[in-house]
Amino acid sequence: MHTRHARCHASALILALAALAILSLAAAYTLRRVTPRFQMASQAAAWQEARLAAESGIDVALADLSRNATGTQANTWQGWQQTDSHGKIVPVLSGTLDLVNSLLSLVTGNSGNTVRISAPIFLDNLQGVSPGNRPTNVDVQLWALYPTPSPYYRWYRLRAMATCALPPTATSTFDAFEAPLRRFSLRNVRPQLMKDDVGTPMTVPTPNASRVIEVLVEPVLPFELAILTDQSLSLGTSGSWVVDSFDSRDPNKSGANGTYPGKDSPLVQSNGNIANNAGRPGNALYGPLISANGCVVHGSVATNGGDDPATTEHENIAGATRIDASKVRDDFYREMKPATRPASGILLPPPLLGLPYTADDESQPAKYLVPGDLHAFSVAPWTGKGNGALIIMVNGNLDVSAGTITIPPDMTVQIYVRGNVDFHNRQINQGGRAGQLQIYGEETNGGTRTLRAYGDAGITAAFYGPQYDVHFTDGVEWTGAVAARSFEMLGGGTGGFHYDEALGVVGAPIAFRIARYVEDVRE
Amino acid sequence: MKRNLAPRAFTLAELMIGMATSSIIVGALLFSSVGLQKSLHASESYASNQSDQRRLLDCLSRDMRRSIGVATATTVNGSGGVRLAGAAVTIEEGTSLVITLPAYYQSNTPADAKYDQSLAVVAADNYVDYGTGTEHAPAVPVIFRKQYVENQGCVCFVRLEGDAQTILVTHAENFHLTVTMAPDGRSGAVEVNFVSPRHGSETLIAMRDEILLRNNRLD
Repeated sequence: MHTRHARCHASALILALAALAILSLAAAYTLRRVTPRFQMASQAAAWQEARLAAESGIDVALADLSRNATGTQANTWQGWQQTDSHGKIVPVLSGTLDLVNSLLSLVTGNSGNTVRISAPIFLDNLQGVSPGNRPTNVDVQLWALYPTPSPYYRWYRLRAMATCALPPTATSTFDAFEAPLRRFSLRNVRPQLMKDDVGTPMTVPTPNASRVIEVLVEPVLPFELAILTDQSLSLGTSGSWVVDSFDSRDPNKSGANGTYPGKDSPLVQSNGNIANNAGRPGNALYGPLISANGCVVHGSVATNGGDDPATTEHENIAGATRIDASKVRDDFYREMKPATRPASGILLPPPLLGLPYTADDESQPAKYLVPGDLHAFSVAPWTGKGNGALIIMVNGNLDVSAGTITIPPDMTVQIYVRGNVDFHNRQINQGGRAGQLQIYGEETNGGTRTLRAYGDAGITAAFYGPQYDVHFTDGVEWTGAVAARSFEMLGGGTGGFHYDEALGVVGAPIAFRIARYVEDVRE
Repeated sequence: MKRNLAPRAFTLAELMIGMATSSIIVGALLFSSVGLQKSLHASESYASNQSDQRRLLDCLSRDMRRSIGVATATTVNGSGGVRLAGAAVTIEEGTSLVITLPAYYQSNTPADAKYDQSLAVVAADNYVDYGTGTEHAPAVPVIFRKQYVENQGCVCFVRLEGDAQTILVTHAENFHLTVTMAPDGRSGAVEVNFVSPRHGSETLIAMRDEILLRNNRLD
């Protein structure tokens, strides 16, 4: 009996084991095929996180650039390094943009084309942990680009490589079609990536995913719009005042010698764009933010909100009867920070006895410091090669109650002023180009500053003063651009405001923005 | 005592009961095994299709993100494209998506040694971009198309850039790619749906990505 029972038990066990084995084999086979597919989801997530990390590296660099765009700011440029002439990695010597730029300028070489390129400075091994709890590493390189001889018109090239770890089990890509897209480093880091792993080599273990983002950064320039304000904008109240544009560089879009061709000329252009940063209060989201007062604006009119999307009217503009409705926008905002006078270089005293100011080459402008007020002045003709440049820093007011200001050809004058600007009813830079006379109103530390003109004043200049209030009365004719806290034109007669499109590429940067975004997918 | 211990044959009833029980057990095993196989196969199919969708979505998103133009075309080489803004397009039946990328590489021929070399930055009209000498290089069109591929023997989603054709998804008959651009043309949504051939027109897996174009559109 004992023997017979034992035989029965053995058969049942064998049967059960066989059944289990068959099921297990089937499950194992399928799991073996399915698991890699799900691991691919994890790999793809790491690939996405590498891009986000690279873009965050670009953001870090852009933040430092923008914070220092208009002058030195504390606690920026932390952690940036460079390779010195002996090949040794050292911290960037200065915490200021000016000095960083000076440093970059010192090592500038000619790249063989029209753009001068500096040696790079870099951020090394920014560490992070991705949302998937994978170690991530970012290296960022920054080059300054100088497309023109001017040290102020500078672009930047930023390149960031981010590497994010993959799950350790991922030692092969499971689908042949994945490889060309993701380009993982499974056992060893691809040699091509080494040149972007600057400074100390990264420590993210393989397998990992690397992505490289490169951007070209352009300066946001102060005179890209005809009129830009931070708080209020009111156009001429005469009813026949006009905002239009021309291009002093183009004979087909300007009058003789690049001057404004006249209100009724067919050469007049329609890029007299105006904008106001101010927003509406929270309890009245829709309503006027620009008072057009029935003026004609040959260009776009933009505000920061105020236009009710539920209606066909443009509530954000009051008195818009003569404005092209298709050119009204309400999605505008541009940060305006006061310009800061250049901090480096030798400062000359103002010329004595009414002698003219003397310029230097635009790559190294002559700099003057006027401790009090600046009145009408003259500038000696430029006799050097290329263009001459001159910077006058005024601690007091710029007040031209008599005489005039005339800028000779091929020369640019930048005035940094801490006090008020008053042109009275004078003719300023008549016959010249607006870009030749750039006036920057500096930080007022809470004080009230104004730019004023009245009567039949005719002014050809560009003004940037985010804390200045602009008041024009009577028949003031302004050719150029104005960026201020507020703008008000009382009266205006049949005159107007004529934007010179050539101003779009001149002036000291007030911020930086991405002009070109690429991903290096072949490295 | 010895006679009692000798092996004795099963009775017919015992045999019938034994066979019936065995049949039930084996049947249950077979049934569950087939069910398990079906389920696991479906799981594998799901995972496979999902990874195909993700790859298509990621590749298209990557290119759109860095593009300077998005258009649709019905020509083989992508010429005569119609700018896509404020509209949606499904990439089917000869309709291609043409994405224009900014120039960045010295060559677009994979066999060329300069294929992975970037262009220099050059300035023209006070504007800095990639190019040679003093001229900016022309933009590069990239075409996404669903077409029959001879050497794969099936309908595939392909990406064409210069002389290079990349197969993104094979057996793409049941994948449907739709691109929708916002009215201002600055952002868009990409949607890839997998429709099961066994479930009529029912979408089994839907994947979607929203993309903000990083460059200004120049088209």
